[in-house]
Amino acid sequence: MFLSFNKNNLASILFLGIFFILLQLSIPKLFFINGFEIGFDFLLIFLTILLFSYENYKIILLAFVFGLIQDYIVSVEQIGIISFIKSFSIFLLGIIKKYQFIWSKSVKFFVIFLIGFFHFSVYYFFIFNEPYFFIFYISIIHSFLYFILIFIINRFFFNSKLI
Amino acid sequence: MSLERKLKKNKNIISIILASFFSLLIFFSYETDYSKKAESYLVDLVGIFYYPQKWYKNILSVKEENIILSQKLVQFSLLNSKLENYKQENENLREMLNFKESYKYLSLLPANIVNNNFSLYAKSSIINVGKINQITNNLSVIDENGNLVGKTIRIGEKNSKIQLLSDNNFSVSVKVGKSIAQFKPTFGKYGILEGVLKTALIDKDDIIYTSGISEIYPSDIPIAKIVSFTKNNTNMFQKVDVEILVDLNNLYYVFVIQ
Repeated sequence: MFLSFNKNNLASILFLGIFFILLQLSIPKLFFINGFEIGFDFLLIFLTILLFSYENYKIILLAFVFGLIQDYIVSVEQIGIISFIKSFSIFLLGIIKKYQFIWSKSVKFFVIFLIGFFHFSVYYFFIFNEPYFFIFYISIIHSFLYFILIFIINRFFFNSKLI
Repeated sequence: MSLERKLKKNKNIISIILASFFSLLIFFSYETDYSKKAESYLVDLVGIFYYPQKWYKNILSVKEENIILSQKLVQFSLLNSKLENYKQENENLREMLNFKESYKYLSLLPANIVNNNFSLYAKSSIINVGKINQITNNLSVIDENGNLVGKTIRIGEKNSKIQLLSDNNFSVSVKVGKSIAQFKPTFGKYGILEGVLKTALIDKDDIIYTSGISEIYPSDIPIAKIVSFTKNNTNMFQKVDVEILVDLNNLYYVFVIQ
């Protein structure tokens, strides 16, 4: 589905970007833990998929823009945090592309999981006062969900050829 | 190697440096007019995008909500008549004791929650009232049960952003027994009370109310209930954990106190 559009077609990316923003706005969370919502970060998933189809620097800048939109909509006095974390996570994910033909699939997916964990734990570190165990716990769940969805998309939409 | 080739070779590094630089710049210039305008504009834009879904949801839920609200109306009517008696009694007693009026009548503006799903963690929400409804910054927001939800922080033309009381920058002065303490959220639906003296008589399930000291929040708005408290010999204050009363995950209607 994602590979079908022209690689130079910026309009398609923007259209899909808006679609994923709306998806993020509309889809309810999966479940709750201690009143805490657990759900998918569709924008990060979308950016991860784009990263493996386009040049890194374009997606880093796109991650910055999407992160900034998210920042302005949800953040309170911490505008800029999500844009930084999103663009930095995409930059780190770009390392996988560098070792595309060296690392095995399992190593690549493990690195994706670790970067997902980095993304969520840094984010929650900024927005929670305490406790650190809870940040770790929630970040693990979120990065696991992120990993699962990336794995499924890679397996079923791209026939395991994306990553 | 020419500069152009160097730039091309290191374009990933340059883009992340640029992204980080602008993120930090925006982070430190949060209070500038440009930043505020961009935020207000995006808050309005989300309202426009979300309107069809809100309309659709309203149609689906309106019947069920009507039944619940009708039941609540009867319950509150009964309660109100009881409270009217208490009010009369209280006014007579205040008059006898020569008390001054301490409680002003509040004007409530109803609003719909446009969205609070965009983040993985609810720390702000967008409501469908704005400048055209005479909304300003720093107005208290409560839910249909009168529990504190947060305060308005950024106002668009037709929509506004509210800071929820689960946001880690949120803090409000509260009454604990006869003393004053500070409520701060920790994670999820939990928070702590800072500055509760060991001598303060508190119990599990006690409701914590706003103190009214702040200019933003009127007094006596319920915020949280005590879930646990511990006294430590090395500390002059009690460690009090509280649970936020408002259900932030199922918030559809709120009232802005004007």
